[in-house]
Amino acid sequence: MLLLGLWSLLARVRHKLYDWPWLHRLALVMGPAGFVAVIAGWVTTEVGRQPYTVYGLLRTAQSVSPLQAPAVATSLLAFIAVYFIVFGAGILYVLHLMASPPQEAEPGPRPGPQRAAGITPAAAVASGERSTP
Amino acid sequence: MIPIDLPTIWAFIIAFAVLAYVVMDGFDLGIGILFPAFEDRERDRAMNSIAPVWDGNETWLVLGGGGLMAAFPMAYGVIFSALYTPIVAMLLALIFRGVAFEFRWRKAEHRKYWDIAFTLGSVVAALAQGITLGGLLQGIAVNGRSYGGGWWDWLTPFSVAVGVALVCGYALLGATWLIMKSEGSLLDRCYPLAQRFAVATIAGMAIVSAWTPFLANDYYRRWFAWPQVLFTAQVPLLVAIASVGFFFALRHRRSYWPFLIALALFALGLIGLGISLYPYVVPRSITIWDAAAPTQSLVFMLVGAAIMVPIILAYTGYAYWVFRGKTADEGYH
Repeated sequence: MLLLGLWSLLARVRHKLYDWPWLHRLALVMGPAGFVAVIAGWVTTEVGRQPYTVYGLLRTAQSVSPLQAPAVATSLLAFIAVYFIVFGAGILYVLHLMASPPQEAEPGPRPGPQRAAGITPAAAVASGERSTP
Repeated sequence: MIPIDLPTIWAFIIAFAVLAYVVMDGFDLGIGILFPAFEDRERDRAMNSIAPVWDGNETWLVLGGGGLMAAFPMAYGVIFSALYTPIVAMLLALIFRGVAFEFRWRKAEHRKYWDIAFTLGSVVAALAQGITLGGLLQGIAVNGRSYGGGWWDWLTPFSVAVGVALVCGYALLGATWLIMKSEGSLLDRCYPLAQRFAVATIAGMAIVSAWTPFLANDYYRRWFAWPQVLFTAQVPLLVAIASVGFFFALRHRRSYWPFLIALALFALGLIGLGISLYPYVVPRSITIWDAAAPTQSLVFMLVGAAIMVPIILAYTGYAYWVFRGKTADEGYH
């Protein structure tokens, strides 16, 4: 990831950011790297601190809330289900966006404050496939 | 030197965070609740009117919850364990409504599903917040320093009544916000909606207020004992005056007054809640002094809050100022 950052910095300084195909290929392949890094870091801290909640002071077993097991099981299952739905949809839309490459002479965002949710420069993407009224 | 009562200061900071959350996220949750009443273009406009501010509004929930954990850890432990189910339901609902802001623009054929997610997420979040409040007001079983009940104890007719009242109240805030921010067909639709939800909200406030003193003798004495009844009676009196003013403003099709009076109704509700609760944080079992964190922690965090809260208020105010006025069709022609 550092290498990609340095490489793209070099390209930016030389005004070649849009001209080096191998840089673009690497950037594309590295797309999920951020997710992997975040999740790996999270797993490392959470697993690494066991069996403590506060390292060296408070054990996980001592810091458990007085919750009933079914409450915890239900909420865990609910979170798993919700995350699958939301991340599934998110990945679908990321792939959908990637399938429509940038076009020449695409209108950018207008100057001034933008009120819109889900703002994307390409009007065609922003309005979905809905026909313009 | 005047002794400084840090737990009381922190109770007011948390009360302020709750008020800020309820008045700000209230209207954008309300727009989600009202979504089925709007047509396609109106939905785009309604959503655009809150797009720049809704996620900032939601962060006040973090100050409320995080402040409670840091300043009153014992109360946090008891309340969040007791009300685990509605709080988790609220978080899951907020996930759906949050992603709907972005996802509904991505694929036209999926839009109707994300609109449903937006509405259901908003309704469930509002209902769960009301149930959380009702569950707190009706009292929590405390065992030593932690929660001593089951995971469905919160479910009573009273807590559900508070939940429904809050859904109506947020819908009222949403309708009056849109009266202030919209024009054309959306505006015409919002006046009757505001009227209906104002009736429902005031009825809900009346029912919950009349019910609360009979939940426990302590509430009854707080509200009706002589002579403080002279003070407490001002709250329902002001609610009555505000209600009359609201319908007057609505009849004259004023832009700003309906929203401002709806906010005043919520502020009065919070004052009423303060009268019922203070100085308890868990009614009739844990006071703010019982639950308070050590003095050093409270001082340390107070310094942080004294610096950060004004900064947050300043940029929040600036964001509202930048996006002041009516919302036109931006970006989606």
